[in-house]
Amino acid sequence: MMDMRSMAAALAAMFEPERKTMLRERLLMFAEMPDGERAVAMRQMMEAVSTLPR
Amino acid sequence: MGPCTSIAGSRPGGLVLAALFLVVVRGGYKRRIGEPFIRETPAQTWVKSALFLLGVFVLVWSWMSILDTEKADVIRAGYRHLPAFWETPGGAEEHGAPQVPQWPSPSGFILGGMRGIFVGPWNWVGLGLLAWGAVMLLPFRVLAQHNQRYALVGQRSAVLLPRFSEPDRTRVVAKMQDALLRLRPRLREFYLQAMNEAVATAPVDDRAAVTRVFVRVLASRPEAERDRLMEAMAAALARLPEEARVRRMADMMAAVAQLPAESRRAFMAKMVTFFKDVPQ
Repeated sequence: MMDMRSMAAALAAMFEPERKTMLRERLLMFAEMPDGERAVAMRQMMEAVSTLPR
Repeated sequence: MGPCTSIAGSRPGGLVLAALFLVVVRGGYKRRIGEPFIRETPAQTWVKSALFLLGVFVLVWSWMSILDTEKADVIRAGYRHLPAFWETPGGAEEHGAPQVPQWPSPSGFILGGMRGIFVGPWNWVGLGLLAWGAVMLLPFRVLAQHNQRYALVGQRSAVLLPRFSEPDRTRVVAKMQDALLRLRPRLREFYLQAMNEAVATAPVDDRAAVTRVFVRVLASRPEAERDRLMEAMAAALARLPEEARVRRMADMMAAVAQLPAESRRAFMAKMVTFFKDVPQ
């Protein structure tokens, strides 16, 4: 599967204003998900973020 | 003996018909495929190349029969060249010429001289060259044109499109997306891969300019069309090396961030869906 890693890396590579806009959209998406789905999606996102270089 | 209606004792019909065939039939078929060039499928390239081969074959054959370069072989095989009769004052019958098979055949309007050509071992060399030529003009030419279209899509996306004015770029991208939507999924992904692979190597401003227009045109499409293109885009990005993929995804998300809020939301949701489900 195309994991969230590429998406997290892409978010990290963006300029600050666009990154903020898109992260806000992503968080709104998380907020609208059912609990179970949200937990899975957020865990995937966190795991992807943790693979990014410091 | 019929009236002398031919060129140099041969029949020009094949030459004329082959030229007409190439111009009218093949040209008409090319027009039917239409523009832009990515609308052409591999099957259509096969048909186009086959029409080309057929037309050129008849053209060359007819030309050869007019030039009469095989006269020696023909005579050795026992055929008498037609002008030999005509050039004799009074005609062949009046001079008691033997009734030998004639070359080119008087009835050979299109491919005169076919019988007289197959006369010796050199024919095998000729047939080998003919087969080699057919292989060059059919499978290799089709493959070359397929690869050429891949390269052209990349070149136009990464080099030409950024040089266009915004309205022209928008018009070209809209036409390109129209054409992509008409293709089979695999071919759609193939061209989007070409585009993304090339754009990923362009300077940051060029990447941003192309992607911004691409995303804006995409956002203006009906949902079903947008989904088809985004699905293909995700599959195309999945085939890129990681560095290029991340760069292009960043470009796309930056372009999506500039859309109005409601479009942005829908876009982000689709991106997550399609990009998550594509096998790598």
